[in-house]
Amino acid sequence: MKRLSIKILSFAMSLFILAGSSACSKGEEGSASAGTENTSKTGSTDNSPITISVEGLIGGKQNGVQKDDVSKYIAQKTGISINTLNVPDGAGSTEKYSAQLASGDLPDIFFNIFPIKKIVDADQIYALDDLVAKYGKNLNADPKGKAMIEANKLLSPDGKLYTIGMDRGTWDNGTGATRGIYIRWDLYKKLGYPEIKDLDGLTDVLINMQKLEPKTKDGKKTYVLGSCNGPQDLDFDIFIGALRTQGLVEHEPDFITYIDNSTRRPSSSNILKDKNSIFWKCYKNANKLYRLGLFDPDSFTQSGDQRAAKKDAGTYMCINASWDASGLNDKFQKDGETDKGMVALPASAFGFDNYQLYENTPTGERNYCISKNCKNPERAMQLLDFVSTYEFSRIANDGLEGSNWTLVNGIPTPTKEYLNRTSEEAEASQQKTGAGYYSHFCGYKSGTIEPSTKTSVNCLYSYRANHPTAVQKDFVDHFGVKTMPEVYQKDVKMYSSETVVDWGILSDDMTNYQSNFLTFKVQSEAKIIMAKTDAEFAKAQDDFIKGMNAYKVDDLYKFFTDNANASADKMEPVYQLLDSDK
Amino acid sequence: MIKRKVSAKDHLLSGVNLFILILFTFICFYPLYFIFINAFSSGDAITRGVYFIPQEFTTIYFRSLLLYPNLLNAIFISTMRTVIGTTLSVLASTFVAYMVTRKDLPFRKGIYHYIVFTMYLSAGLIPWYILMKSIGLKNNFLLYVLPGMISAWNIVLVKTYIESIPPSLEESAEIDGAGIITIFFKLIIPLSIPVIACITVFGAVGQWNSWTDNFYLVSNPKLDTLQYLLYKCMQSHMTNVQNSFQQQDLGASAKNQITATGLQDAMTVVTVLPILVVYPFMQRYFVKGIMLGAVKG
Amino acid sequence: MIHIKQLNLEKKSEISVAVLHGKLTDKQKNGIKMLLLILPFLVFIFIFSYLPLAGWWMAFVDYKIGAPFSKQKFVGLKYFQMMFSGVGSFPLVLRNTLVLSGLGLLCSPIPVIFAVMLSKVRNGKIAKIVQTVTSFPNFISWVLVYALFFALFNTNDGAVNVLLARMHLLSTPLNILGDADRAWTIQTLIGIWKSTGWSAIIYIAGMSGIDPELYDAADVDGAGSFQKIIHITIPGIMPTFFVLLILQIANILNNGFDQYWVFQNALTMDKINVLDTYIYRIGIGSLQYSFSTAMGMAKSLISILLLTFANRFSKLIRGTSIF
Repeated sequence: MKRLSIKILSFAMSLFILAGSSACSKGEEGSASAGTENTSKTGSTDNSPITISVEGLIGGKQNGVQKDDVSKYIAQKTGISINTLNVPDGAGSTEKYSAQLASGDLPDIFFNIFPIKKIVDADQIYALDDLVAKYGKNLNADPKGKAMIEANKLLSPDGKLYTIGMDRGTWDNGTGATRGIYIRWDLYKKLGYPEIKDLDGLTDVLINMQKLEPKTKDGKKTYVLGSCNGPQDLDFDIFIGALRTQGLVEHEPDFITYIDNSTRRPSSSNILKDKNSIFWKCYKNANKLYRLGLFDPDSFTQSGDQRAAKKDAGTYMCINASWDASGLNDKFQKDGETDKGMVALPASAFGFDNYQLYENTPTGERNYCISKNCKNPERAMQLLDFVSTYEFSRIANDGLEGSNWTLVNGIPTPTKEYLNRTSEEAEASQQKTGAGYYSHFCGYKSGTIEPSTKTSVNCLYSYRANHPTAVQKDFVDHFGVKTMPEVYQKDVKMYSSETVVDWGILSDDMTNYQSNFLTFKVQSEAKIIMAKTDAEFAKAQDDFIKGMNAYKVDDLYKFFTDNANASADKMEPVYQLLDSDK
Repeated sequence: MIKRKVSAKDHLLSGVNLFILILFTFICFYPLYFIFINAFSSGDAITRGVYFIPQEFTTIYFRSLLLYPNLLNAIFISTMRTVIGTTLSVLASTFVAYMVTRKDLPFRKGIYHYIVFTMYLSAGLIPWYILMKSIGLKNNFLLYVLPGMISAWNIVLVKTYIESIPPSLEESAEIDGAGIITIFFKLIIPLSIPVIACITVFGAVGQWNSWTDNFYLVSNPKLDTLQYLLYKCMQSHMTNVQNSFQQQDLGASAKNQITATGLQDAMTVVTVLPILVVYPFMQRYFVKGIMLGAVKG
Repeated sequence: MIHIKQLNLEKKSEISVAVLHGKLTDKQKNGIKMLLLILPFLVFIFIFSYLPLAGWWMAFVDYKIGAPFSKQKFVGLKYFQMMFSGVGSFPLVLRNTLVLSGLGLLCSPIPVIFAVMLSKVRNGKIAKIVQTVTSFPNFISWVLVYALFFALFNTNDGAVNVLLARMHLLSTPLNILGDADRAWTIQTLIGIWKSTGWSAIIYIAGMSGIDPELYDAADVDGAGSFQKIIHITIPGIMPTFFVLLILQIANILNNGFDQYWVFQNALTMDKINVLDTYIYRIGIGSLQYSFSTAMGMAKSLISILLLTFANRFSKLIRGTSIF
């Protein structure tokens, strides 16, 4: 027994030595070739080989320097080999970044999840003003890039630039609202395209729609609406779609106010307390549906995965997000039912003249900082600048020219293989092409339209817009135009939001109140939806409104509205830069 | 041995006993079986409901794991950490447990307090992270086997067991001139096989399932464990709102055949199967106690 | 070879002892030798379990994450008071935690009973299979347990609901996942299902350590099966049971995060929101490290206190304690 343990121990020792030595190499693989010399007006660009670590939703199936074509392209053009550290969003990422920040262990470039004031206080990141002036030639030549820089300066506690925003622009290219009111267009057609005047009218139409298809293909009951058990999911499924259709953008996570895109100012009242607000209109309708047995009773208990599965099976008549709808639409296409599908209703269907088709995030949806652990901040900035162009964004999303797409008459067009691949094949090919590895570390989001080619950054989106399905054709015909973006953009004054709001940072006390309020809110919402009579509904409504005061919701409302109003003026320079690009 | 006559009442009780146990066994068996058959069924079938045999048989969830280039290496690392980590932990815990049972250990009570309190004392993630980094366990295989070496829980279990060993055995060994180490290896360990088998099983399963140390402190893909790879695979297919935005549009015409639930099922199968294979080997060491029932009525 | 090795060890410690301390009694020499043997492990425990506790200072400052110690502002007991500030659900959460832990304690004999029942099975093969299979639930992650439950009990097409409806035993489907009134019972039952088989292992091992001659002697005395259980088997595993019971009592505030996190929803929140999920939601979710550290520290100290009391109590009642 003892001999055995000694044997195991000595074997283990040799392993440690092995593992230790391999660990010391830090996983550096592949050498970066010395790129061609590249001089620019602002100063010579160093292209000597160097490795920079970047942490965030980046890279492939394993950490380290990647071997795909896009990574090699970056190394060839800039000399920089990126040591990717993949940290997906969601569970655990907040803790990981926090642990790194707390121990001064941040990598060279990292995705910032902290409120800007907190990370500046930690004094672990570089101020980037000088660096971007000297090495940010792409950013400085692009009005949207300059707007991003200006916005991030205005949002920082001391007016200095601390973050570079990636994923500017839009996720969708106008063929459907990112969040809106998606309905089964084929069933709407069967009903004879009844007029929808307002949200109450919409509910009646949806009820009739469900009568047309009371069961899914698998024989399961259909519902008008369904949700899941996350803390904000009831809101997202019941009322955010309606909100965005009016050109209003919610304030997360408590939804006590919203921003009006046309004025860039917040709501004049607490929409949770105002019984005539859109919030209550939507929840009244949800309650009506529940009483009719058309609101999925499992909404309160099912997880997001289970709801997604139901959505894809056609269980719900009304969906509120483009990615949710696309799952079902793809299924209809695959099954040959091309005349069926979900489309978003435009604002004009309700008589609204302001619409939130998509969000044009001027600050960038993902902000990256350069930590003081980086020994070469100049090269880091060079990298950040390099990936900020439309050109690289396309490569980041679809791979290098010739891999998944080609230029046809100057228009980036997806190849046949790219269009017909299964997700499994796509993942496998990704390891060679690198398509998608850097799609959250590039200047523009996948749906943004590149001005020079008038094609979306991810060329699939434009392709699909130009090749509408049968149901989409019926949709545009009904509205008397040629393409889907036209449907959404006609008859409205505004259709995208570019509002940058500095909501401010709550004190610890108020954060506590807010967090506790969220728990109270979701419980109250469940009671409101499940009220069996009008009296019960009124009581649930009053309980909610009165109960709010225990969580200092009025103070929260005042805090956020004051900050939002101040922002509308403060951010003027940003809006001017964005306008100059139109 | 005098054999008692087995009465009718005994038979009845025996029958009831067996019935309850079998019922409970079924309740424990079906869920894992359910997971197993779902792991081989397509996403659509899972939504419809798979209860008896796999529907629309597919191995797609398992294949998605093969896309990880360091899969084999991860299996190797996981195996190594289980073997080495468990061995170290069992040896160390058993030895410390034995030491604490010895009445001639000064400050014995205080030391035992000192050990047991660790089960309830924790300062959270950040101090732990800082400590691991400071002592050089970042990106180091030792991270997997060193911190877990002394488990207060194991020590408590072993100590309680050792105390049931008749002290006369130890005394006579000492009279024969055996030192502590000898007594430990030649007397205590052989007599404590059942509890050692127990903590070996507990420890091995714990090691096999660990991934958080990998997640926080290891960036070298050569040191990734299997469980961590499974976690990453899961994350990249999550369907919550945040990740929906970030799902890379892979140009798939049949989007997401890899449903989250199916993937979770497959992950469980991959994790549990090796345990089930190895388990019977350890089981025979601690199961003697219930075998007596078969003989002694 | 073994003897020489052992001799070397003993000689070394003896020599160093004699050299360092001069003349000592044999007993003292022995004591020091023992301490030296266990010392490396104690140091080890210090490094990995006690050193991190220095991080408790975070609970007393307005923690600015990432900033050096010198820049942190001392706020005393502010974050400890925050939990009593009356906001939201803290009293409720505490109640839930204590109730669920209490129910768990009440159910702590179940693995023992199960182990004894298993020992009464005549067929060894069956006993082994039962033991193996009943430990399966332990390997299923809580996320999957929830998915399973949903598949069986959801109101739309949960298998159990469908079955009961077909057998005309139900008119409206059961909504077990959204049932607040029975939430405590349901969670306790689920806990029993998940942990009984696995927890019984230590008791089965304990039964292996009972001297078979005791059973023989009982047979000679004409003892029945039941009497043997009461007088031999149970007393044989009682020490283990009581130790684990005391440890469990000290653990009252730490319910186990995963189980309650997956089962919480708008309908059951009031009943199964426990301390750990509460702290996570309010603390870590919103980057409030001072708060979560303060709560963690309070929980640790309360646990130690409970441990001491439970131990004293056990000494009073049974005459023995775990210390």
